Amino acid sequence: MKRLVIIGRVTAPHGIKGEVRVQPLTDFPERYTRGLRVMTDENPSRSLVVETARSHKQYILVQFEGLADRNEVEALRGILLQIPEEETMPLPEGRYYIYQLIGLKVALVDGTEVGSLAEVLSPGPHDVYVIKKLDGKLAYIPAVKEFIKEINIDKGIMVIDPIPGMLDE
Amino acid sequence: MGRSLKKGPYVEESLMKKIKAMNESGQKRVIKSWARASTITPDMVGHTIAVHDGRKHVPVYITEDMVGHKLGEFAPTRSFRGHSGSERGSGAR
Repeated sequence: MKRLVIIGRVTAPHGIKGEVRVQPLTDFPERYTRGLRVMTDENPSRSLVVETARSHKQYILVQFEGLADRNEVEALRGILLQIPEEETMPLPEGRYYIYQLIGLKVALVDGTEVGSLAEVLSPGPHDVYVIKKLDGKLAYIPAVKEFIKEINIDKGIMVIDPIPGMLDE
Repeated sequence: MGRSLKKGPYVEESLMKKIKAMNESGQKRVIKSWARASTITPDMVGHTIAVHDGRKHVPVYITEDMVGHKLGEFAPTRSFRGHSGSERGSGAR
């Protein structure tokens, strides 16, 4: 079964002509254009095709083909919009999708296993990687080149070079 | 009303003491701090300060463009977790 990637969430209908408010959950909100085919998380075999899309505050107002009435789109409230993984946008070198990073084995430069990557936080200037250590405790590493030495998705490993106080909290 | 210029920026004394000691010895380690209101000074650049967000200490790697801002600005107290399977990227900066 092919993997699906979330690109947005329908928050509410907008107006009476069948438009919905979509909260973009993608780094590429410009991908919402006429003709975009998306799958819903409730029923992945059901696909919707974007007819029109325009930005509005922090949302995108989307009208889907064949849904021209507020009552018809009311049922879409809360659903996640997804696309097949092969349709995701290519990222620049050194950047990876968060779903690719979660679960990577984390090791030190000398090869000692530390744990696995549990979560990626985005508090501000740089991301923070939450590592679940082998003893079950969490450690927080800033996602900067000073500490993250290598990310190898194919091998499923992330190599870090922490300073004192980073892992031994 | 802003802080009086006469006083200069507010910098947590204990934090500054630790930073100065590390700069003198040339070693680096994470400093835990609850001083969210402390201003970031040029001495702190290159250090990692774990700023308390009310629940945990968020490590903040200090860079030049953060100088003059407050530590708390880089460790928000409310965070939207989002969906792990979304089309969002990450990488070491």
